[in-house]
Amino acid sequence: MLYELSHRTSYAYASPVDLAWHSLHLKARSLPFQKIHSAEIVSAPRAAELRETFDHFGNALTFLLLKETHDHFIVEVRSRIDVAYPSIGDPASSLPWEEVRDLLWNDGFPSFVEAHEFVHRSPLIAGHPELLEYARPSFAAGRPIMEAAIDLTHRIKRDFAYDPDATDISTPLLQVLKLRRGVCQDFAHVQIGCLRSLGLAGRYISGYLRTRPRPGQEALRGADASHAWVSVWCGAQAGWIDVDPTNDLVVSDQHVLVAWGRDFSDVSPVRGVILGGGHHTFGVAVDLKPVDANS
Amino acid sequence: MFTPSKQKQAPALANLELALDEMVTGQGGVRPHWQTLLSAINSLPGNGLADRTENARKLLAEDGALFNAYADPRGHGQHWQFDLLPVIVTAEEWDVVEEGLQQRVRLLNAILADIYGRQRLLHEGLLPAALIFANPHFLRPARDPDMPPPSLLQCYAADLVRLPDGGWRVLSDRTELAAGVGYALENRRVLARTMPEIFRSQPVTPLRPFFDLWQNALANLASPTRASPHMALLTPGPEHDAYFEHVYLARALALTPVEGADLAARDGRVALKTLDGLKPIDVLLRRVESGLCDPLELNSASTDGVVGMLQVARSGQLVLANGIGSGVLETPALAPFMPALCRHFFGEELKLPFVPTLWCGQAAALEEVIGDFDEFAIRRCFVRREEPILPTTLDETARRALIEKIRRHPASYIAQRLVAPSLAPTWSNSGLTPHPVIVRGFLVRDGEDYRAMPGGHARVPTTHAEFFRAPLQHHGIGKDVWVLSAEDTRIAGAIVAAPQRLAPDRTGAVLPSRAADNLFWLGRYVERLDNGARLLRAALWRLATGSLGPRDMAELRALAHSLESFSLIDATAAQAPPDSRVLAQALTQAAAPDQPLHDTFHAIQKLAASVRDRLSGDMWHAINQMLGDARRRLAHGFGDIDRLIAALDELIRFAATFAGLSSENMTRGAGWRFLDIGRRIERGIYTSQGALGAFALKPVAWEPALRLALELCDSTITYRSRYLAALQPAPVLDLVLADESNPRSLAFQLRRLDDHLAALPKRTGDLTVLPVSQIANDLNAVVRMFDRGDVIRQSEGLPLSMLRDLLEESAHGLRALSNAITRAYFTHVPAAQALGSQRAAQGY
Repeated sequence: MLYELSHRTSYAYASPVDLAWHSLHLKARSLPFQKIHSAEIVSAPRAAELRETFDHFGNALTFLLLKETHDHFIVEVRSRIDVAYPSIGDPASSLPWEEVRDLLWNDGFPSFVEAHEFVHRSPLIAGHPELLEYARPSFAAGRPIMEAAIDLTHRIKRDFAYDPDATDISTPLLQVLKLRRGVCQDFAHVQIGCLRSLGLAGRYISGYLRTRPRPGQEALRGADASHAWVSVWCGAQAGWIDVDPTNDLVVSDQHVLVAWGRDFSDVSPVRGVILGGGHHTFGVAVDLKPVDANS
Repeated sequence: MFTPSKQKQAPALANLELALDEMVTGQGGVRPHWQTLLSAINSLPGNGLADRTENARKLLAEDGALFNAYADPRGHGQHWQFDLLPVIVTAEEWDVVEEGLQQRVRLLNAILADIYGRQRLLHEGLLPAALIFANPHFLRPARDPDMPPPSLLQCYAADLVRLPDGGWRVLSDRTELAAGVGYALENRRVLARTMPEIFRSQPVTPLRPFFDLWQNALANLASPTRASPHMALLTPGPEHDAYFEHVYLARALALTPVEGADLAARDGRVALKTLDGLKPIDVLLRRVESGLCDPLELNSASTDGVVGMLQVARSGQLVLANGIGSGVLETPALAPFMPALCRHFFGEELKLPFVPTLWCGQAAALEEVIGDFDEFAIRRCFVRREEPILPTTLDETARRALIEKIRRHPASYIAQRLVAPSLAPTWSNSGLTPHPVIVRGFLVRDGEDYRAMPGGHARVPTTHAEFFRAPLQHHGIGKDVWVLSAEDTRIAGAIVAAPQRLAPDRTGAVLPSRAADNLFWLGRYVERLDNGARLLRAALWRLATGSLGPRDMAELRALAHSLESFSLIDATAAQAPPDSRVLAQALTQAAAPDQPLHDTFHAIQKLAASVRDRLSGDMWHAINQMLGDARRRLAHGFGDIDRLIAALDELIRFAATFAGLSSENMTRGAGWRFLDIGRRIERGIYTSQGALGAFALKPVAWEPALRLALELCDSTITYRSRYLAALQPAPVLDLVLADESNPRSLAFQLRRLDDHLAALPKRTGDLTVLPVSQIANDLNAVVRMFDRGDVIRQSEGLPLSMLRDLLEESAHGLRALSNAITRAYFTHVPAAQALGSQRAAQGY
């Protein structure tokens, strides 16, 4: 599926900003199943310095330095992305989850080092016994890992209410678990925390989800949002599979992946340090629309 | 005579009966290299070690060798405890230690390069991935798999203990900041000054050459294209526990001490903000933890770092010592893997291993720990400064709970076998007793290899927690470490490098904007303290006379008015009748510890601490000792008029000493100018609104007002010698306002300010807010009007209202000048704030 993407973030400051540094996780990763045809970042004011690099996880990372005094900052990424998530195979024939766990640890010396990085707690995902307790029912002894992970995805969708007002970025994971409410970022953190409590690897994915237009209606521009979901490592053969606890589905052709990390803090789309600015407000507008491959 | 007696000071350590004694052999004889020291100590005159210990304590206090001194508003820092008996190591023993440390730091440096580069050690099964990926000190932004970093370890410290078999073992690796080396130098200095005779007893290897070598090695880190590299030491500032060491080290290595706010990343360099603009820095010795160094890429809440510094370091335009993220290797969980890593990198056996340590993340190790639980101290892998848990001290339930916890997250725990570190004699009131010691050794990278300091900083832990937690200064007693030299090196210290030829340069060192700012306020606050003390003392003198006559009453009323305008007493007290208890009480309490006067004290001590490297030793001493003493006397004199007056006298003498030292001992550079500008502005405001405050009252009580003006401007004697007559307005006002030869007159302050402003580097912005010539002319004009006889006694006549306007205008102009200077010269950038905490994920 070929998409055109525009993701625009804007800040309005109460007092002028003299100088600003920003780090952006906005350009989508290039992957075997995801081709980036074009990607450009534009900002207002224009960056005095712009540097493109990759972070520890291999995500594209852009640094901007703004030297002009400004009271608005707008940054937008525009890209054309071709995505074709591979199918995951038969969940029932995946490895028992305990076997995957033992592969990930291997008495201290794991062979799958990249996957092992995601078994540990991280800045926004602490270890809590409550996570293990919540995860248990999906992980019966010997259950194939994909089945168990998909079941956990299903239960989170069933048990948690989508409620943007219930939580904010500073709401601790444990609180989300107690409230049973939140947004996709919270649900992703819950599922990752559950997987890690069992010694499994869970990766936080930031990206976009195409909003299905209602029958007979056009997709609303800007109505689409940035999204978050989860990758689960299922062994050497199966590798990572992506599941979306907000929608209870296995990721296929409606998602565009931007970056991955241990949790949101590794891949926050727009970060920065500004001098001045005072109080600020911000807005985000995402537009992800399929394009006809022949156009 | 000293008799050895073994005390179990740290009961939770392994049985100290087994411990090796550094001084005494198993047969009760004294080892040869201790004999000369003991006989020197036994022949000390007087009370021997007791006297010398007291002297050492005083020296440490004079040096301001305190911990946390400036973070405490009451100024109560904590002195470190210092034991005069050194730990003595022979040259042969030290060679073994040094060789082991050199190998160890080379190994750590190689591991670090791999961790922040391609991470082959993780893929090849030589280093458990958990020790890196679960480690909060592994800083992902510092890693670049395509371009492995150059040497990240420029300096390194290790805590060492000697076990009963005579071999040294490592208790902890310090790869982040390698702190404590300044304490070692200070210990040596204090010991050499307190007990010079013991150094004559045998050849002790000097420490100074190590610092020369280090300084040189730092300079060599800079790109060879820089003719004379600019090197600085980054400190979190006076609020930090170890600030004393930071300043001390900066001096020893000739580095500019800077804080994050002094620096800015611009145009690909990190530069120091100075009065003459931005000056790029080439090498930065870090005393700020890695994670706090750059709010853009690391901890965004940090105010100790520099935004964008990591990028400059990556590009090679700034060399950080140590590199960002070096603290990842401080985890003791590395210990079990070091021998194999050593063989991997060097094909050698590890010469200096850790004390026996197991990582519970491996099944066999976990079972060994639980099987032999009582023999271990349990710690979490990555938590620094946390007390270890001793299974022996737990009851059955707590033991089971701990085992359960470890089994749940085995990779998060390590276990260290209890050890019996060697004992060294330590002096206390009951004589010399043997105590366990930990020796911190230091190494720096010099070209391709590392060199060890021939000595160290030893600590005597008094509890088990102190032993394993091993922070430097907060706990335990410090000791010097002597390495005896094989041949006598007392005469010729090693010369490390030929000194660079220096051309004479009178322009002076670069003055960071913040240092200028601090000196300016130091000048203002010392003067403010002096002025406040003078006003208070004048009021207390009058109270002390007992019964108040009408003249005293009028003078007290005027003084109360001035004291109120400087916020030293409140309005209620100022308006109360001068003979009331209300005023008396307010005056005797004005110097109490919770009053504004003490804020001024605190501000002075803090400012002085942050510009300590720009003050001479004597000036520092004046602030540290004289001011501290005066402050204590004020606190003791609380409520007692005579004692208060004596304490205020002392304060005024402190200010005079400080003024004298700054005038005679500081070169006339920009630093001195800002100090003096601060003083002149403050004194000008005081003269117009404090000393002459009585003229603002209506009606004016002429004679008291004139007498106070002379007294408060310290001009009574001059007046008497000039006029030998009763007080008259024109001559008094001439002396305190218009006479430019009187250093207390208003005109004198204005003229000096004019000179200073002309000499400062030019800035855009209006500095002409104070019309000096016009005010000076007006002052003379007012004096002449008073001189015309008959209008004198017209209490509300034209000359008086002109005088009042002029005083008002001067004070206003001086305050405006202070603001203008602040805007023009001191970089007060708007506060930085971090963005990006907003939620991205809003999917449906």
